[in-house]
Amino acid sequence: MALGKIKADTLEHSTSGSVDTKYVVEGSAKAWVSMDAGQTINDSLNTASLTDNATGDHTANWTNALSLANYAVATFSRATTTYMQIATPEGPFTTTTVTINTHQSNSLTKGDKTENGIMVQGELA
Amino acid sequence: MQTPEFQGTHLFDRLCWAKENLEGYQSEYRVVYEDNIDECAKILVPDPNWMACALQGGILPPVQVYWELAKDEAQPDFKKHTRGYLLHNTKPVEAMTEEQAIEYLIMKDCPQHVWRNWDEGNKPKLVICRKEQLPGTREWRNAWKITEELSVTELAA
Repeated sequence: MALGKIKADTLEHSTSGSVDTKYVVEGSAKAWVSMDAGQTINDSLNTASLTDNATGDHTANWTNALSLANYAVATFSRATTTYMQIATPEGPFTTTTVTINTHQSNSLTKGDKTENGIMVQGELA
Repeated sequence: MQTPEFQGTHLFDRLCWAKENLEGYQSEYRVVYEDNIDECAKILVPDPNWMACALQGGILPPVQVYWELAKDEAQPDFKKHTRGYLLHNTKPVEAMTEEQAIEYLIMKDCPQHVWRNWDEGNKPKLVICRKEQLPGTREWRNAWKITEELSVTELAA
């Protein structure tokens, strides 16, 4: 392969100490997606597509599956209202999908939000 | 740009290479499908970075690899993927046209019972359309359905 490769177990700074590279490898996001209300993906990594299931109900489909289905997911949602917006992971994850529901903090009714994001940390297959 | 020889390279590394080197491609195609008659239609939206990989070629594994992994995951005693190497070691697919890429994506991310039997019934369970053919606003989004006026036989012809 034409890509360069540096193999190292530790990165050491001249004064600030060292860090094991496994923290970098295992601590990096393995997939993320930034999208609007289910119509367009703005940017991403390791994302194949988005499924717009319904109002405030969206699924991200990953390209490189995760190894396990119990990985960690962080989500956000934003809209131009005075209320805080919430995006919550919904249902069991699979190794290739995460579904989120978006709603306003003062309501359990799902609603579309102008900006949404999902980030995944875990082990890749 | 020439794609490096990627067979045997971890798929995630290939995606990072693509993110660094390829311009994202926003497809105007959308896939509308119904996998449950009691629910509204779902819309599949292609990812621009994924589309760039599909159009470039030599990056993505064959779609059959995802079916194999899905079979493993469907096993009741599934704990962890042990055949992830299929993603990395299987010969990557060649460059696709935009239409071929959408077909690949349907077979990857739509439920198999939908796309395998898309033409069984009075109306199609799945339709590929352009973004501008969808309703202009998301009002009544939860009532969106594939129109009854579409005939399976006409579409198949």
